[in-house]
Amino acid sequence: MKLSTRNINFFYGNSQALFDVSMDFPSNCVTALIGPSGCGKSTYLRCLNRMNDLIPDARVSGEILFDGVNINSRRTDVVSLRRRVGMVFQKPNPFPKTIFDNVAYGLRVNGIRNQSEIADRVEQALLRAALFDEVKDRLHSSALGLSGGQQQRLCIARALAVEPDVLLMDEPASALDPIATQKIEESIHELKEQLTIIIVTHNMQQAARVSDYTAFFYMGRLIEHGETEAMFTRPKLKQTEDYITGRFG
Amino acid sequence: MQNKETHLQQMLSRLRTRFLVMFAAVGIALDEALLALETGNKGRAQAIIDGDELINAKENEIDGLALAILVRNQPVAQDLRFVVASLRMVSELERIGDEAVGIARRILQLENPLTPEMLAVLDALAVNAREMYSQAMELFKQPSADKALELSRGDHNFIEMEIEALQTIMRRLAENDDAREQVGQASCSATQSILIARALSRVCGRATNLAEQIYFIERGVNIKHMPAEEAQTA
Repeated sequence: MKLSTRNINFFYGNSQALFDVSMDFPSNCVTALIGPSGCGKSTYLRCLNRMNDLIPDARVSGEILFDGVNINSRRTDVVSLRRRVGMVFQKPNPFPKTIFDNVAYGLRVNGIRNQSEIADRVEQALLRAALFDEVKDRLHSSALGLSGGQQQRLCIARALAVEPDVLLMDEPASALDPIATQKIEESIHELKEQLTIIIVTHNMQQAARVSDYTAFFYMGRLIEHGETEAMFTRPKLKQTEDYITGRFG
Repeated sequence: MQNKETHLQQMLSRLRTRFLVMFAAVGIALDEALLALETGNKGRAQAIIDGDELINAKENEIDGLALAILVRNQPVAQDLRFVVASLRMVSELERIGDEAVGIARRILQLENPLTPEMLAVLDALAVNAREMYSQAMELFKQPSADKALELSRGDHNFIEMEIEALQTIMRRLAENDDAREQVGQASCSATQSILIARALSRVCGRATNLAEQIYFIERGVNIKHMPAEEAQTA
């Protein structure tokens, strides 16, 4: 297993958002986290690279094993962790810099100074995010001039440039049109050959299209987790069936 | 929990209703075919052939509705299984309708109604076909995985019945010089009876196929082509 969690409990102050969530994420697979708003899926996703550390009064208990090492520990270097466990957010958030500099940013922060290595890795990252062909002639133009779908793929390229092992995606296509969404989904299919991907989505069809495994969360608990095909054709629990068939919201 | 039916649920209810109508229409065609066979009533037989267009139209309507649900609603779980099974079941139903038409055509080709002896040969198969079809229709109305498994993999002997009917017809042919001479003519009652026995046996087979689909809807397991012992534990 690339990543596992054991008995994760998460609190925003006195309010508990996650209850004993234990789950495994196999390498080179896509796992979709689904569930109604407020069920804890994004909170759980952010636990996986310690993004919740940035929230005041938030605390988490339990183990998060990344390649067998518990990262939910004071000794963990969170900067290094976030390089290995990258993240893409719902809203594209490119820096107000050029396309090239956006992707090169993480490389420079990580101390890479060799310009030809940076150029090479920027190109590779853009290729893997299926954006290179669209921007190759304007790499030094502002990233803010890209369309929403291109900006999101740029953010994916930025995350990929530092060669993470895991990519967390929090509703990465929810603000995009169908064509941009399709491009992101195609990228996910290709990226999983090298990465482990965990995606939060409200779109059931998207979960069914892109993921190998699906986990259904409800009120902070993991209700059912299994192979996507089985989850969407014959879920074991009625609660899961009711949610995915739209019988409760 | 929300009580109001979603658009998908309304579409699925509509699909279910259209199926109930088609089950009834095919059941009537089958009943009429058996009655026409028993009475030798050619007018009734012709009415079955004329009415087949309506059954075909119902098949197209269900096909279109199921396709629309897939395209517009992308159903999942039991809803998806119901729509997928619908596409398979509608084809089975239409073919049962075709078997009724086939029987009607045989009746029209007969010069004289079948003799009571010949009808007696076909009777067990006819009763069995009607009973199995009724069971499949009841299963659609009130789905039960256990009953569906029983109907699809139960100890049915319709193939033996068909063979027995065939053997009886052949034996009578061998004993009757006049009848032997008629073989090859469209009006030959022995030839038509063999074809009718075949059609009735097919109705039984299609009823078991319908039951397989009900089982798929209920349990999410495809038991098509699965031996009985394996299906019991699937």
